[in-house]
Amino acid sequence: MAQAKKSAGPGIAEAEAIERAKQGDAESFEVLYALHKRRVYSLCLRMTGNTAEAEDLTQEAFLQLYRKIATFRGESAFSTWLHRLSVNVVLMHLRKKGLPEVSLEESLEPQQEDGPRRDFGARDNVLAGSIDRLNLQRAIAGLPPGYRVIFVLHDVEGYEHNEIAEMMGCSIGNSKSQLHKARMKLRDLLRVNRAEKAIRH
Amino acid sequence: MNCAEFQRLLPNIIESGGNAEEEAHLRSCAVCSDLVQDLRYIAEAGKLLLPMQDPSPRVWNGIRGALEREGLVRPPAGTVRFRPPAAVLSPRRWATGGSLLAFAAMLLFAISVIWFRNNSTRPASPTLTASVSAPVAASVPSAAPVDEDDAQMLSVVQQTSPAELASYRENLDTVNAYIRDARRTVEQDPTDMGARGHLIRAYDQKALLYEMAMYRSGE
Repeated sequence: MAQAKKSAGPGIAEAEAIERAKQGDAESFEVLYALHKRRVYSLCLRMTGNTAEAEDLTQEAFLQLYRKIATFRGESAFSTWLHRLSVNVVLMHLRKKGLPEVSLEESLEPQQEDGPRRDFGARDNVLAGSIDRLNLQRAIAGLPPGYRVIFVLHDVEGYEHNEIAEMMGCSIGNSKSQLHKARMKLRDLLRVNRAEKAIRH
Repeated sequence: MNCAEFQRLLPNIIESGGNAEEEAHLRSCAVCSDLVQDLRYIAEAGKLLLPMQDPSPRVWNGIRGALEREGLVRPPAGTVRFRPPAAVLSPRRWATGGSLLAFAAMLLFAISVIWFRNNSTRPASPTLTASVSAPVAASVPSAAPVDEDDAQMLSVVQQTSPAELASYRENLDTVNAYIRDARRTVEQDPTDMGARGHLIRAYDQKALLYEMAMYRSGE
């Protein structure tokens, strides 16, 4: 994979950095951090919606990486391995905080007022072409935690439902159902945001 | 099939398409059609959200401290020689890449001027207001045109690290798209402090990109 050939800094490739890090080489740890910090931090930030928590979890993810790097055998891409490890760190954190998990299907259900509503009413303009990246990021941050995690894992990070079900300890059907509710909630948030902007201007 | 029945089946319809009856309802019902269009748009837009933000330096400081305490690192020459994660430039490198560094500084200064101007007097122009609604797809990193300074930076990379050119170009496109998005929002609402934060980070990242290019040019 191209992963192994990725340049990891001045004169050192990622694969080489991994091997050196396994031997405890300090600079190689730093190189791996520099290469992957943005992706790991962005993942943590999107899953938690909180900057301070995201930074703490990024730190924890990299510490776990460094503690476990000797067990990395290259059976999957390093970035995939690190990404999964980071997701697990965030999920563990959310469980400790007592935030709803998908495996507890009832507890994940948002309150009734947060839930998706049937859209049988009057027609409104579609969203396509009216939202930009910042608005979307803000709307994701405004999702209830359970919805946000599923949406980020599936629609942003590209995990399949079977992978999410395995990580979250829930059924595939539940993962699909929660994703649908998350998208419906996101649609509501984006439409409200658009309407507020229209009023301001 | 009515709307209630259709929307009950919506997760599967979005996931794997509908059958003939569902397709027929979709064609005849504008409300359900808009709903499906929105949900598909949201799903696609999510895929376009790239990792854009770096953690603050305190994260690396915390990691470094923990690694040292746990004895997980082997100091290379008797002492632990950690450097900050961002490239640290030696005086020689600063000298060789002086013009790019100057540009980075000017860039940050220019941003300050833009913010001040937006925040103080200038109302959002009709053009800018219209551009706020640019779709996510419009800012997808691609082979977007670069300005003269960006072209100069890419030229330096091409000369010093040709293998990295594509990566630099991709990063440049991404950060420029980030800047465009943030600027639109700030220009639309100068009191939006969150958007200002995004804009600051976006320009920080662009400055860092230039810094890295300069670092390589001094290798």
